[in-house]
Amino acid sequence: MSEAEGQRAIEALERRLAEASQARLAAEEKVHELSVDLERTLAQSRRAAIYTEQLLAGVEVINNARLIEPLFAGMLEVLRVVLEFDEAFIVVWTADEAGAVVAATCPRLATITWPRGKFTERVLAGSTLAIFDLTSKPEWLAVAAASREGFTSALHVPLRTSRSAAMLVCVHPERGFFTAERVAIARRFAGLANQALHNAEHSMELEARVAERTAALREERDFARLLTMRMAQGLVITDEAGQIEMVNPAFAALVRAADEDSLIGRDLGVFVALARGGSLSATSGAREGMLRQSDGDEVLIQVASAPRPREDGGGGGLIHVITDLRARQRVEVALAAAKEAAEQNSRAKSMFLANMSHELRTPLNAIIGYCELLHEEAIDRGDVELGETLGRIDMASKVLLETIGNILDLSKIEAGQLDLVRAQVDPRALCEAAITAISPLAAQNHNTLRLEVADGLPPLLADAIRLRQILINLLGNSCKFTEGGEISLKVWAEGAEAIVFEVGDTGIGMTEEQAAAAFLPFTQADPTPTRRHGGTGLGLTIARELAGMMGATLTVQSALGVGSAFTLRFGQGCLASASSCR
Amino acid sequence: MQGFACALLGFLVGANLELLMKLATATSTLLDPQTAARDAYSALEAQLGAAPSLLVVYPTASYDVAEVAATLGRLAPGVPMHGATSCLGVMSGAGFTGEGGVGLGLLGILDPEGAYGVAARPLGDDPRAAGRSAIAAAIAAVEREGEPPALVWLAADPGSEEAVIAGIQEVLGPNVPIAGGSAADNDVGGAWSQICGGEALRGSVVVTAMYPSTGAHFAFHSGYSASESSGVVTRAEGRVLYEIDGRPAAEVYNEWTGGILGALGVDANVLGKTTLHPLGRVAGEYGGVPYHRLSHPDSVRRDGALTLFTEVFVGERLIQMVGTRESLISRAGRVVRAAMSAGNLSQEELAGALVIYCAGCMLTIQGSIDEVARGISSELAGAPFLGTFTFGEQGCFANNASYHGNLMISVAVFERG
Repeated sequence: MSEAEGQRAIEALERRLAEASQARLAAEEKVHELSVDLERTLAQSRRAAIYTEQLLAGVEVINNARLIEPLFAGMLEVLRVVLEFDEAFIVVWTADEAGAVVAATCPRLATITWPRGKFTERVLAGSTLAIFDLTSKPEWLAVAAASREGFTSALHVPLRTSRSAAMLVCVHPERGFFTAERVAIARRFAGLANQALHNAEHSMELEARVAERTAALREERDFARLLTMRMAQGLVITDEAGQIEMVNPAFAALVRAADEDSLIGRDLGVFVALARGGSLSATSGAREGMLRQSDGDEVLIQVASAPRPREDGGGGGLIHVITDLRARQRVEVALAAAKEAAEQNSRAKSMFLANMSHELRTPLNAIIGYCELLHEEAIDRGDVELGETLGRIDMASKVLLETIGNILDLSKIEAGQLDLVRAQVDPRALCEAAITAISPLAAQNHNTLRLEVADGLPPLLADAIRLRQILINLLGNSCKFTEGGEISLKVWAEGAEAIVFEVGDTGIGMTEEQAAAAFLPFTQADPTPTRRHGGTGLGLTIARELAGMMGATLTVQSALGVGSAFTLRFGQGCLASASSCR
Repeated sequence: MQGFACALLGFLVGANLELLMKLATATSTLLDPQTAARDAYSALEAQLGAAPSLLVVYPTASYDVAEVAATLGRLAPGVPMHGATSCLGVMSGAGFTGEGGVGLGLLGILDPEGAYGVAARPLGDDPRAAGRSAIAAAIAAVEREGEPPALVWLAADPGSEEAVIAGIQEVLGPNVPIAGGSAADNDVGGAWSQICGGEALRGSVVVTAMYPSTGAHFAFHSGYSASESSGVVTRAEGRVLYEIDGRPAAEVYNEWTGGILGALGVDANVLGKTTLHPLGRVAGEYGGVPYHRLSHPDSVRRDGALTLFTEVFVGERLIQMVGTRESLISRAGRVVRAAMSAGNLSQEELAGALVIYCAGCMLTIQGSIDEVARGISSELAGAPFLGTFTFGEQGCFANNASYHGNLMISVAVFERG
């Protein structure tokens, strides 16, 4: 090999060596890149595994924690693994209050009161923010130095709930510990903390509701117990076999037991025997029976039994309410005696009045008779003065007779001794007779009388004397309270349903109150002692009573200064075609 | 089951509450800074349909950057603006944009539900304090005091990025991802600058606190593999590596690389020679695979020390890393894919991406940089992206640790929502 060839060979070998060296370097570089990529992939896989594991751990905490403290504590421990913080706490704001720490991994952080400044607002607006120096933010400067001592950097993660603003704060002693990578991880895990916060709020709401409901139930239970303990009736609760499970003090007192407990477990049938073979094991309304007291005495009682409601919805057992009837018995006896006495007194009074009226009328009639005779003789003799005196005596005697008659009628009515004689009455004939009888009285006050009787009226089944008495009373009243006016008596039929008598006048009339009281005994529109119009005030009372006894109604319509109209209405049952009339 | 359903529903919908976000890019190679800025911004706004929520600006240092920034500030008043100069050009879905070292790239994020606060501070003598102050001001600019951003996007002068990151982490803690790229120029001449608001800044750090309404995911990789050569730092100071295993660092490095440094003993810029042979340190491991942050040797000192674009510390084990042109070309697309994998995103879920690509790598594969852009665009399925070429890269590894490194590719992808 020549030197030149050797040189070329050397150069070729050097080229090949350079190429080989370059290939080796490229291969090494490639291997390095692959190794780095592999390590990065492995690191990512490890992180992903940790994140997944912690995510599931967080979900488990959320799903399993029933109390708020373990919920937050568990959640913060999960986040500690992921975010590698030293300590952490959660601040929650409600309304305008300063932020309060609701959970913390160490006690000195739990006492922090977090002010809401510009930085906090940025966090709550949705930014996850780290700081490498706690003293750089006013909010942290406002935190007590003892609380932040030893910590340099912090991470602030916004949490969202439907009701309040909240923030997770992580702290670490190393300056700038919370890198952009940790910020990104914190954003991803904020959902877990959010859910924990949401669950905590939900749990607190439930607790508040339970507390409220429990208090309400306790109040209801206490009230029911108070009622039970203080009710006058005995209360007994028995089981399916009729054994006593509970009694109230009233029942214990009723059976004269030493206390309520001594009755528990005993058969209620030992104390109570229902009348007519009734069973204590049956639900029922009020039943009477006898209660045997511990000393052997028996008491009349009333027992009401109802099923006992149970929480499980099942049946069995009864609630018995036992009422002591002795007091009622005493009242009933007293009432019966009082009633009998009152009735007896009433009968005696009526009898007395009836007798007295009779005894008064008999001599009075004699006085009136003799007075009339003397009056006629004095007129015949031309003794005017004596004639006027006797005339006054005559009139006063007749008024007295009328009064006595009214009192007699009323007492008979009240004593049930007034008998009616029902017969067919011709309304027209009866009215004409009444008008004739009242004509002199009408003339005294210069009143005109008018009678209007409809044609074809059916006969009426009534007591003609008492009906005439009613009409004359009504016409008489009209004559007394009307001067220079018109008094009318109208009769008409309302189809086949009724016959109506109406006595009207154009007299002084009555107020609404006076009209309402017109039928009360001893009542007149003008109650003053100096009233111009005489009378006992019994006429309308008697008229209404008599109308009622004949099956009719008597009513009045009146207006002060215009006049009055009294309506006497006989219903269908009082028409002659009807079979009967009361 | 009700609890389970509700919790599961919350779990499933929790991640999809955000509104859509939109990204767009526009580039220009026009020489006039005002015209370039105006044209690019007009195209950007037309795509977005509105002024962006954040405007990312990557011009080359050959522009009058102050004029570019001022013009954009006038065009987009009130729009938070973050930027830094890029080496030779930018890349986007349209490929590499840079003609004669002139190119401008804009990326706009339209995200009304998000928040993007930008602030800058001069590095001065205390870049750590500058980092602290800048991130606090950026957060305060959007009234998010105390709230950790999803991502901190960073641009600073090369040289003190570790301190800046430490300052930011003093405020935020270690867990907030920090990504971005250091300002660059076209010839390592120190002409780099930063942009904040409508102003160009020098010797500063600009940070954006991103609070996107959707997810932001990231990846941080090199295009290199570990060789079998390694040693422990026995003497170092800042970004000067004196000794490895008790021997001059340049000598050890030269042995490891088969003598790519050539003859030692002279002050020399070795950036071009060392691009495919950076030093690496294990920043962590994921899936058994160590990942490295790289240090790019940029010069050899007469005393045998190496100067790097990162700090190194005594006791750290340095590994000789090996890269190839092919791996530098293909790697960017793979980093995009890794960022998508980190967010478990499909192409349909993407809004777009920001890409930081080491200027040193770009210079190594300069003729093939369009291939890099095509590879990224392919992984993004055409979604808009803007790539800048930087003199130092910051990013967050898979173990959530944020670092500064060299010869790295840092990607942030944004979810559409």
